[in-house]
Amino acid sequence: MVSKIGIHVEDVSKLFVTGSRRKQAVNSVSYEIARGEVFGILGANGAGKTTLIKLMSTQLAPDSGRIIIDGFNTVTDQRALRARINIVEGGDKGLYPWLTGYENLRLFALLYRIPISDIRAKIEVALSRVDLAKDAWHAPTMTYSKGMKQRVLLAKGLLNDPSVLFLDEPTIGLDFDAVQRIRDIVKELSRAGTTVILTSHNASDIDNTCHRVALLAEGQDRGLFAIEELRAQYRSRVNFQLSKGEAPDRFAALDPGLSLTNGANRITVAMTLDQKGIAALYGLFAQSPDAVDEISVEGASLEDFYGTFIKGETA
Amino acid sequence: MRWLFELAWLFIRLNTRRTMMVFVGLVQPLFTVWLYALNQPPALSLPEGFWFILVNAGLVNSWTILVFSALSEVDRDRWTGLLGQYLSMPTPLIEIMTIRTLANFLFVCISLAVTALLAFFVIRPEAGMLLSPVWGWLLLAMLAITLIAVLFSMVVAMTLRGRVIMNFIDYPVVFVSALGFSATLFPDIMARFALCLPQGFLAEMARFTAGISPVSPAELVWWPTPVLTGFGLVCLAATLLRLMQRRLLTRGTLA
Repeated sequence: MVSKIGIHVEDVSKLFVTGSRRKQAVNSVSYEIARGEVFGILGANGAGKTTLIKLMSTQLAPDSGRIIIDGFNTVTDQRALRARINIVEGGDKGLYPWLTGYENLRLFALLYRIPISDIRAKIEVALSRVDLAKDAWHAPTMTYSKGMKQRVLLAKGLLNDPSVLFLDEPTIGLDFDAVQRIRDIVKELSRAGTTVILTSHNASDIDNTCHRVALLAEGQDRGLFAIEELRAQYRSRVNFQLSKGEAPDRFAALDPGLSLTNGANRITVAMTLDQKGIAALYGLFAQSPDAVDEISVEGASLEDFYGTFIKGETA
Repeated sequence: MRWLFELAWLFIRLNTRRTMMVFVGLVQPLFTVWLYALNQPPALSLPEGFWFILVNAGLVNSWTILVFSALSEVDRDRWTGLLGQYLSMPTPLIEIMTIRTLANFLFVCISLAVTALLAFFVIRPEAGMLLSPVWGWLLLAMLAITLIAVLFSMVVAMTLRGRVIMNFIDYPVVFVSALGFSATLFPDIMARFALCLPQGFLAEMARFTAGISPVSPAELVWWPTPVLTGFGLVCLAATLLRLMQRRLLTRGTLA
């Protein structure tokens, strides 16, 4: 029977020593990641996200603990494992500027040991999938924009049909369309059964694509959350106008910290509620629909949650 | 085999797309032969001249491949994260680096072959004269040294400390490569300019001290030339800075 768990990260630690400086980049981190899952790793700069990706993608060996991907150990089964994974790093580097986009991918395809007879088709499919304009395929990448380079790098990540794709800050510095395309591709890959590990310090990337998110701070695991569960906990700001004469006290049961501002004819009510609270509030509105006006809901997001988390860490 | 050929070809393409490498690989051999034809060293016989050109061109090529291709490219790969990506690919890093080394070495050999062909058509030595064992061994030794140097530079460029060590090796290599070719072989104005450059002057001084050249650079250089050259460079730099400043003020960018 094939295990549903694609990646086991078991009590992994990594210490960097440079002269007298010691940096515990990853400290006793454990995760189990399902096949086809989009798993986000969220953390500030220096939190250990990239080190964790490097440990999982065989670029680094852990000091302790072990990582098993599709049954292969990242230290003892490197060669077999490397054919099944791919990594895309964010930014506009990682390509040879004197070679064309097509030649860069041909070089990578050869290094990934893709059969030579398949390389041309694989490159064409990958470049089409990332929407790189065809007339740019045979231009040196030094003439590309940042977004075009990132598309080629993403195409490189698709070349060997990996079962696990690591995306390290893939949307950094990209415009909205390019970010949206990358998010769409991640979702397509997940539907096709590819496990995607995504690191970002942009919470909306994680919010829009991941099934679960791990929070890292100073190399330590600070919690693992299902995005759907987190969304249910997000608290939104709700504002509405209430006719004078209506008792605002009944709303206080939902949010004791609500604020009331008296106007000439109306009272402005501001509340902070989770999804259940909002549903209950609309229930109250339904009881006296004519008394309520100008309802606005400012939805909270993972970014707000992450901001709260960071504040808690630094407090 | 096809995999190996295609990979090596792409690594060679990395060289041929760079202006510096095109200059070294193609223009520089032509230039070397042209300089020889202009100023044939009187102490050299024709076949010796043939090998003299080849070895000198080889020295410059070796150095350029060492510094501009092997070393700077691997160093660049380290900074851009490509080296890290190589570590996550199924082809082992040692295989990638070996193929890349051989590709760079092949580039040196192609350039030397072009030089030899040009030198042959200019000098037209008799076939028997080319079989001089001394020059032949020297050429072989030079190729072997190039191969070792390229490999060594690739390995040490992978670490920060190694890069520092290579900086101490680069400059002596540049200096030694200049020892084989006297600046006096250049046309007069170029010779003066070459001798005004610190590297050219020191190389000529070393040639004189070692007894390779009978003439000291002090006798070759008109002393105000370095001063005037220095002054000219300062003026040029100042003019460029003013232009940059004006462009920044008017356009807000240097692009």
